[in-house]
Amino acid sequence: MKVLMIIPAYNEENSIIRTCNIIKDKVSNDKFILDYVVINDGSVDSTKERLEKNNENYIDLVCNLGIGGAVQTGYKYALKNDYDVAIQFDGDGQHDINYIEDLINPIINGDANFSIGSRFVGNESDFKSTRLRRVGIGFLSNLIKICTKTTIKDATSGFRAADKNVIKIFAEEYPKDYPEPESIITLLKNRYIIKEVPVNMHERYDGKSSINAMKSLYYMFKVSLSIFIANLSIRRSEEEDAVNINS
Amino acid sequence: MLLTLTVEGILLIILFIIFKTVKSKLIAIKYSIMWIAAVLIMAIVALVPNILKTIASIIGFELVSNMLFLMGFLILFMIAFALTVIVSVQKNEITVLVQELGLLKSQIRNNEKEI
Repeated sequence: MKVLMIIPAYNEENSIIRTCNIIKDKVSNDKFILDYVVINDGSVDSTKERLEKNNENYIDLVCNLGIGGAVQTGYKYALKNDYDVAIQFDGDGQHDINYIEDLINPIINGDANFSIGSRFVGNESDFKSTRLRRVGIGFLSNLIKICTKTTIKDATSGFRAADKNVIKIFAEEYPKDYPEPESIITLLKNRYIIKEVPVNMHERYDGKSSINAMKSLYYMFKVSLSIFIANLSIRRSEEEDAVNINS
Repeated sequence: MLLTLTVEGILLIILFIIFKTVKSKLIAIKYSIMWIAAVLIMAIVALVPNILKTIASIIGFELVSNMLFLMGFLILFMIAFALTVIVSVQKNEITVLVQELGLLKSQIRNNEKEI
């Protein structure tokens, strides 16, 4: 088993090397080989220089693509280099390396195609985000349930793992901004199995989220709209499938 | 008469600017066609205003100017929408280019390390 950790980094000169060292300290067991790749998403600080100096395995994007484009680059890398599992892991210290095994176990055992590290399943996490954000996450969860009849409690979690099938899908098509909930819908609609795994999450090192109060309204609207449109287009392809079977 | 001449003069200048822009390759010929067509239609209408009056009365506009405003608005809306489509397509293409470039650069770096 070859496992790749995808670490998107945008202006994270203070935390990126720390994250890399945490991963290096993590000795992978004989069940799998653990590699990582940092995606430098057009940072304007010295992130790239630090990666180069520390001889890290990184991909340098010449301009800023946003989180979706950066993570997708990682999936493309995973596909090219024939990895069995790809894990999305933030470089800002929010995600806990100790939950890697828990996260990829459902995939290694063949119980799921995609697993999500969830703050709201089990009681692992002491950091559960702000109250307002929890309301938003609850809303998304309901929306996904209405569209797909599946319960995903933490649709916005960026701590996720994908098997080979999902790597291939994401390498081809991945939403560009606020990609997490939308990509979950795509997978569910294509009948892939998603499992939520209880994980612990920390507050980030520098305490800044990429989503501020001004953007959150746009976030909710954009995600709802994309879920709605994903629902439309997939329903149509299902109808086409039905027609093909009949004829 | 003087008004017609002035309008035709202005349109001629606009047409000249469009041609110059195309020649200096700031606009692709493909995208200049719609602007040239717009100028030509305006030129014809300015020469024979009765065309507009007839159309307006057929559709049911009391004032020709109202019809012109509506048409102008719709045409600009269409152009803006077409441009949004073009921008979105190009954004996707740029994303793919940046990603592939990043992957290539990392591959070259890794090859050099192996040597």
